[in-house]
Amino acid sequence: MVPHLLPSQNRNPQSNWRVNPPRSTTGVPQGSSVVLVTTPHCPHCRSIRSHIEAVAGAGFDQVHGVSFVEVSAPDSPDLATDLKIKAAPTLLAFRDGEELTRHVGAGGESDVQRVFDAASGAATSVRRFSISSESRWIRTGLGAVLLAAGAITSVIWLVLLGVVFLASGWYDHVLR
Amino acid sequence: MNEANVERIGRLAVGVVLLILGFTALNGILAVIAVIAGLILTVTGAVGWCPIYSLLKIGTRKVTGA
Repeated sequence: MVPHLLPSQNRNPQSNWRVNPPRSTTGVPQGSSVVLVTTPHCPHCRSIRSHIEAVAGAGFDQVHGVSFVEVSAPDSPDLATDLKIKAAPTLLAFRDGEELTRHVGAGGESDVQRVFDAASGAATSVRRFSISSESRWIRTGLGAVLLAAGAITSVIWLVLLGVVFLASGWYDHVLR
Repeated sequence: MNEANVERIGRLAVGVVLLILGFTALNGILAVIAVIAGLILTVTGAVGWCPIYSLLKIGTRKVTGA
């Protein structure tokens, strides 16, 4: 169960983001929510915020029925302990008080999308084929290299392998 | 995913070289071995997951953070 998120715990002084957790009268988040736990000097927190903006829009506090909360771990040590936060940034998805999934550390848009999809209960097909941005570029680069090698050496198997790896890097992109 | 990005790039580089050698420069059993090894390295490098690491419960990927 997600711990209480009292209003004073939800304000991150390092962030200009609006923080608007869905609160019941007891302070427990209700419905679907995504929680981002950050630290002031975390190197990847800024990049994951930009990915969240890309996925959900800038300055949002609720999108597709999913509420967003940003928590500064140093300001809320008890909450960070209750959520078993080991590193920042950590992005967690909750629905009806139950943690569904989390992403720890640096990540790409696909990682953020996966967490939001989990919170909103989006189609599992998107989650299943979702890959990280680093994997996408690694597979795309590999596919391009194999395609070029196949074209230069006139080996059809290298060309086919290149096509397969290129497709594996972009298939989930096509799904969206 | 249990492979670090550096290891993934290394696997892909070696795998691509083995594939090209297997399809072009080598013959016979050496070509077959090179292609199979190249396929294993490129697939595990592209996916970022090594089944042997998984069986041994080890890995080179670290969780990043603050």
